[in-house]
Amino acid sequence: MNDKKLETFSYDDSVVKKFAIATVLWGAVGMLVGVILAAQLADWRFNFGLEWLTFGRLRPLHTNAIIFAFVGNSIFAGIYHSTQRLLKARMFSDMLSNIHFWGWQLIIVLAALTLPLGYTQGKEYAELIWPIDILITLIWVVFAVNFFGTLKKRREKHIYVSIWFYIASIITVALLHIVNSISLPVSLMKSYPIYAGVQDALVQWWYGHNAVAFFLTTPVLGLMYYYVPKAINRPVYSYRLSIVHFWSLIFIYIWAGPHHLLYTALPEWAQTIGMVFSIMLWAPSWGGMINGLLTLRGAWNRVREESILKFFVTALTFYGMSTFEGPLLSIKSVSSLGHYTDWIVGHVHAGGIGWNYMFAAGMLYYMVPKLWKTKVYSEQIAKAQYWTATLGLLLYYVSMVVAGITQGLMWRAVDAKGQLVYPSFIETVDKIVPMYWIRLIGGLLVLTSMLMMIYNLYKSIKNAPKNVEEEEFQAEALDHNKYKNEKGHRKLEGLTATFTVLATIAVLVGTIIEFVPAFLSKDFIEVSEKVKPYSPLEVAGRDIYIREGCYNCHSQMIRPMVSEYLRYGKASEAAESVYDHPFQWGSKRTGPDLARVGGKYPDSWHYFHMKDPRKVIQGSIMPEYTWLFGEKTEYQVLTKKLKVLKSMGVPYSEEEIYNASELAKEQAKEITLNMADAGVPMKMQNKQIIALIAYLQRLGVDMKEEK
Amino acid sequence: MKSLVLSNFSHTWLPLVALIIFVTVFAFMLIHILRKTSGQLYKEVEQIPFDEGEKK
Repeated sequence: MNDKKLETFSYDDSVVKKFAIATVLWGAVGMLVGVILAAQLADWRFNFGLEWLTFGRLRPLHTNAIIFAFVGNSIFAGIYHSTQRLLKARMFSDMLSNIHFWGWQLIIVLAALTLPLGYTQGKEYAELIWPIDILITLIWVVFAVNFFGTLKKRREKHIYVSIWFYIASIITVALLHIVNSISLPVSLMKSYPIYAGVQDALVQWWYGHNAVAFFLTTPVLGLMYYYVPKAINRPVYSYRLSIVHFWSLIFIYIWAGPHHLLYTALPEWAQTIGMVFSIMLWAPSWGGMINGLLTLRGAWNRVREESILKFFVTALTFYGMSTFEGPLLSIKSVSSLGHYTDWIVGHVHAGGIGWNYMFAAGMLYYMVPKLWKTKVYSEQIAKAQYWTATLGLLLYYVSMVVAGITQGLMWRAVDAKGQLVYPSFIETVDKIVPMYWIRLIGGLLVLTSMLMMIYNLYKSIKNAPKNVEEEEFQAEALDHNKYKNEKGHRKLEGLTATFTVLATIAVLVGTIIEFVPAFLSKDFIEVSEKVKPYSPLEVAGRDIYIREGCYNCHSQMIRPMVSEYLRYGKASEAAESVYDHPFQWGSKRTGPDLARVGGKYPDSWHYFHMKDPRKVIQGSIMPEYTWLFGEKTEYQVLTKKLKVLKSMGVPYSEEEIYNASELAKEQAKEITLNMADAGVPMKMQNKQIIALIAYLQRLGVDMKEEK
Repeated sequence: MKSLVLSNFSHTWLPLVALIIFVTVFAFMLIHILRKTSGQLYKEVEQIPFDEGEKK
């Protein structure tokens, strides 16, 4: 022991504190936006007639705020806190830690400004415009350099299981973000993704699904392997199981994206892969959950007393429930009922609130007193917060599952004569509006619980001693020779670079095997001569459709099912969206599918429907889009837009490109003239509503079934 | 439905390759971590969260 070379060091907890505070503040903002959205679905008037508060624009802000601001800041707090202690080293660079923190907050602020203003890429969970995407990449690189730099200067040879999860998350999130965000700019605020139609769908859901996997799950699992043993003060139940959990999970997870595209125009074999790998996920997910829960073996009595453990146990339970329900919903016959309904909304909130929020709360109650050298202000408030959140979550989840299954069954109900039992879509909405009110109550309770935590943590920090000096620690310097003769996984865990490469390969296997055919196989780029590119005015209308976030409530994908055929027409084909940059298949039907809405109603129907939906459909919960009747269509940018689209393979002629503005004006005039008899004045021809009508009337027209 | 799925399943070799890779890696990992001699190692490793360095 005398030859021990001790080094003195301290931990950088200032960045952890900042991330912890940002977690609760953004959490409250994200939840507040969620509550506003829930209110709007119960009663559309909760948008107060403001365009930037409408559901389509606000929903991306809610999802981005919860995923990247709330959970993002919480995982960064946990990673910075646990990594330093697991490696017995201060972060590689305090400056990089600060750039990471402030850069990430800047990204969130930019998202909060741009999304309500309608600046969006139109891809779920990847809505942010291209300059913000570049900023995200840069900040992520800063985080990665800081993290791997810390690994390099560590004093603990062995890389504990939590660190593996962090490594896999950092690598995979970078891969997902960069591949899915590639787009060609038209201007500073507008770009078109390079992928179109089926390819875009596959890339998007590879990203969307794995954003859940590698942003909301694997980093939190890494945190779980650190904070649950720390909170209970005993080691993880089975370290062996954690190794199996890690490798199986990262290998299998990446494959499951296509389960978001079941019964779509994605080739069957890709759908089947998505389904099979989703079911395989049951095993590693439950392995991890059991490993976490059994860590509490022999100490369950403490769960009754300690709110930290209550949060952790509930988080693990909901992790288990969500990872059971996810694969269940990936079975094609179950998906046929649940997809596009509120069941999916319930499912993601069971994960988001039950797993992520509950875990973050437990982690913060563990971390804050230690960071500020204080005690939790009130254990009673923490317990009250726990029960308020749990009750809110249960109300939310149950109401959404009931609403989803009810609506799913109503959509598919066919009578003995082969007719739809509920042919009017609004009938199926009307039945579930009471469930939307219950969901609102649930959401309010969850938000209240978050405010309780903010108060509790604020008081705890306020009562903390001031000007506490940074503690210093001592540990042995890393002796590389000490582990020279080790073999197998233990040796591998000491080799950061090799470990990282192997984890990357595990993730890339699924990515490459799913992607290569998507870019080479004719199944994915089916072209039909019937399908023509959008006219310039339709391109303008499509961009308005994307700006308003219509895809948040309307799908454009008719599934090959009898009930869908009866309600919407023949099933959508891959060829139909071959020029769609981005694809707009959607994932939710709060309103009906629009894939074949073109020609279904006269132009004037759309005109009056967008102005006041309830005048056309009694009981509609759609917002009024009054500003589309005042704002002018931007004709001058159409040439640039068509040029960019042509560079990505959309076959526009040079004539169309250079006369784009004139062609659009001509079509707008024609549409407005068509509506003259309905009392629409000609002065409306240059307004955005006309461009939107042009786009809506084009949907599905090229390959409509001939009667 | 089953025949429809199979008739469209034009890339059977792809998931097969993936399954072979996964099963091989999984089996190798399982055999490795279940070695009788590894128990002591994991007992040491699982204690890492409880050693944050000695306070000065």
